[in-house]
Amino acid sequence: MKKWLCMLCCAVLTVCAFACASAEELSSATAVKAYLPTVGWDDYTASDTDGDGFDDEIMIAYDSGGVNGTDTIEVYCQCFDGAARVVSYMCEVPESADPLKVYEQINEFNKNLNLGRWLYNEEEGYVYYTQEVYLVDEETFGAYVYAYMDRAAAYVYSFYGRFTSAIQ
Amino acid sequence: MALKRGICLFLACMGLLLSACAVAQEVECHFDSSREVAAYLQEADLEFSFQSNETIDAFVVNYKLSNATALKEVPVRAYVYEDSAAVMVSGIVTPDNSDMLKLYEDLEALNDSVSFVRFIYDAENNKVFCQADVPYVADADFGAMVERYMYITALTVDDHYEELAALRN
Repeated sequence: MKKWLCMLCCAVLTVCAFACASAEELSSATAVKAYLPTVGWDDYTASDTDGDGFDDEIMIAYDSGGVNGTDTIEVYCQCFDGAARVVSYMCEVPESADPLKVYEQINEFNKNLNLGRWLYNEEEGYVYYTQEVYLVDEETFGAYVYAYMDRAAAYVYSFYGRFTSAIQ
Repeated sequence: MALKRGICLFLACMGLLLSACAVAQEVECHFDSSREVAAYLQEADLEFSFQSNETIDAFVVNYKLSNATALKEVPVRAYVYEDSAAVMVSGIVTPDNSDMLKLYEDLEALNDSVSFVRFIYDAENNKVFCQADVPYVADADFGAMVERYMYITALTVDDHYEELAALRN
C-alpha cells in the first residue's frame, strides 16, 4: 500500500515538474520586451499582475513635462495569448462634470484621433486610452505595439488640457 | 489541325496574359503601404474591389462570415494612407438621437464590451460607424495586419448587430 502511495506521489510530482518546465512566458510579452530596447526603451518595467509567474504587463513612462499634473505619462501593455492591450490613463472626471459633455469629447476623440479607442469609466470617474493589438507575427509584433504605445502617450500629452477644460 | 491547336493555345495564353494585366492595372497603388495590402489580399485569394484618388487607396472586402449571427455579408473598407490604414464599416445604423446622453451611454457600453474596434457616432450624417486603425510598419506584415483588422471589424459588427439595431429605438 505504502509503495503504491509513494509511486502515486512520484507520478504527481513528475507531472507537476513537467508542467512547470513547459510553462513559458507569452510570446507576445517576449516580443514586446525584445523590441522596446531597439527604440531606446531599455528602462521599461514589467510586472506579474495576473500571478502566472511571468512579468507580462509592460510599462514605459514618458516625461510629461507636467502637462497632466504629474511628471510622467505611463503607458501599459498587457500581454495575452495572441494579442496585447495598450492602456494609458488620461484624466479624472470630476463628479460635477456634465456627462453629456464628457461623452461628446470621447466621441470626438474616437472620431478624429486615429490609432486608439477612448473610453469613459463613468462609475470610477476617469477617461483612458486603450487599443488591442493583434499578433500576426512574433518578429514584427513589438513594432506595432510600440506604435500604439507611442501614439497613446502623444495623445495624452497633446489633448489633456483641451479635454479637461472642455468637460468643465 | 496542328495549326488550329496552335492558334487556340496562342489565344488562350493571350487571354490569360491580358486578364493578368487587367488585374495589375486595377490595383495601381500610391504607397508602399497599400501595395502590401493589395499583395496580401491577392495572395490570400480574397475578392476585393479597389478605388484610388490622389491621397488615398481604398480596398473593399465583402466578408461572408461562416459563423454569422445576424448579417449574411459585411462590407469592410480599408482606407490606406502612406503611414496607416483606417478600417471601417460605415453607416451601420441611423440611431434615435432624441436623447443624446442615452445614445452616448449605449455606445460607451458597446465600446466597453468589444476589443480592437470602436463604434463612433457621426453627428453630421446621424449614423453610427465602426473603425479600427493600423499604423504602417514597413516590412512587418502590414497587409496581413490590415486584413485581420478588417475581418475582426466584420465579425464585431455582426456579433453586436442586435445592440446596434436597438439604437434605432
